Amino acid sequence: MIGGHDDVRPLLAARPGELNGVQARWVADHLATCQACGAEAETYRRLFRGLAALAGVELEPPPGLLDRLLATTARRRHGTLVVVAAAGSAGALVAGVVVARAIQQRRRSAVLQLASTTRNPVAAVLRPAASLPAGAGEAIRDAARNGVRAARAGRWWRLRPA
Amino acid sequence: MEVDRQVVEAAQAGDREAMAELVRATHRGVYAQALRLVGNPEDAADVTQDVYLRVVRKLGGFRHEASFTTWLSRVTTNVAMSMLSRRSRRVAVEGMDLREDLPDLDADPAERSEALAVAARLDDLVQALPEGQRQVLVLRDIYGLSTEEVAGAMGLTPGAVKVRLFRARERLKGQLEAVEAGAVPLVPRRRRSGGRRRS
Repeated sequence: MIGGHDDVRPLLAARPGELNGVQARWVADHLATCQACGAEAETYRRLFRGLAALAGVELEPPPGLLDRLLATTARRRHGTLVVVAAAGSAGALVAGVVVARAIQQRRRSAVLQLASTTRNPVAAVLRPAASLPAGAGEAIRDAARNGVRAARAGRWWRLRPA
Repeated sequence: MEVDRQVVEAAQAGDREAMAELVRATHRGVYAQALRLVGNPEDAADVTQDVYLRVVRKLGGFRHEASFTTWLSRVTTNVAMSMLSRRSRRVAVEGMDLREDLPDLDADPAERSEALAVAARLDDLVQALPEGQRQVLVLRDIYGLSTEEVAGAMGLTPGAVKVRLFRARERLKGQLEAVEAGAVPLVPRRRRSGGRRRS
């Protein structure tokens, strides 16, 4: 018989909105007479509600992740372009660190401020150009007026002392 | 967790503290969703980081047509699925209507309480599902994507999604019955950092 036990049982694993009208009627008619399927349908109903509730159950992330997220979003949101100046010779690091801060003003213009420049930065490489905040192009041009020469190199910006 | 609209608008305007508040309020939910999708804490942390990078880039374009957390959930789904299926065809799920046909848990406090109790048993059982089944179930039954949206996000046909979903639900139902009958203990938590739940 169509709509009998064997037809209905697989349908119990469907959420109500997933069944067409005929299937929904088969299920309703069958559950009225079959206790075993009724119990199974109730378990699925509880399962679906439990799964939906899981969306609101948060999990504690690994230590340090929140700090990384806060640092990342603060830096990117406020347009701070962190520039690590790489070394002179023999792989020695720390020629200096240049922090260039592009301060967005109404999303259309930006002013680049040199927060610090230390000893003899040979070359500094900015983040990928595609990730620069809006207005950074103007900030880069302003950099030239503040003693930094900026040139785009593929996806990256390269800064040198002018 | 819902976020006050004023906080979102302040973050959109560039308020540093508002952005920090957004991150603090939402990062556990984002991490949980990422972990349920990608299955291990290291990748989930990477996904979470990428989600907030994308939030920073796209927050200005958020128009409050959906809630911020719904929008954030979409972003998380996209970033996680992008990580999982870089080589396969993937359809972004921007614009989808999340949780459109999930059970309404706010209607009855007693039912909500029962659902949360079941959820506490389910998280580990979901994590123990085979990866393909887990991802389909997480997207469809926890975060409420339609079958077609799940298919698009995973590069599957809707028919394949339904098959995986049926198997995942059937397996979970059997395990839930066994756990509640005391026949088997909860599966051990797998490589999950922290593990403290907040609901």
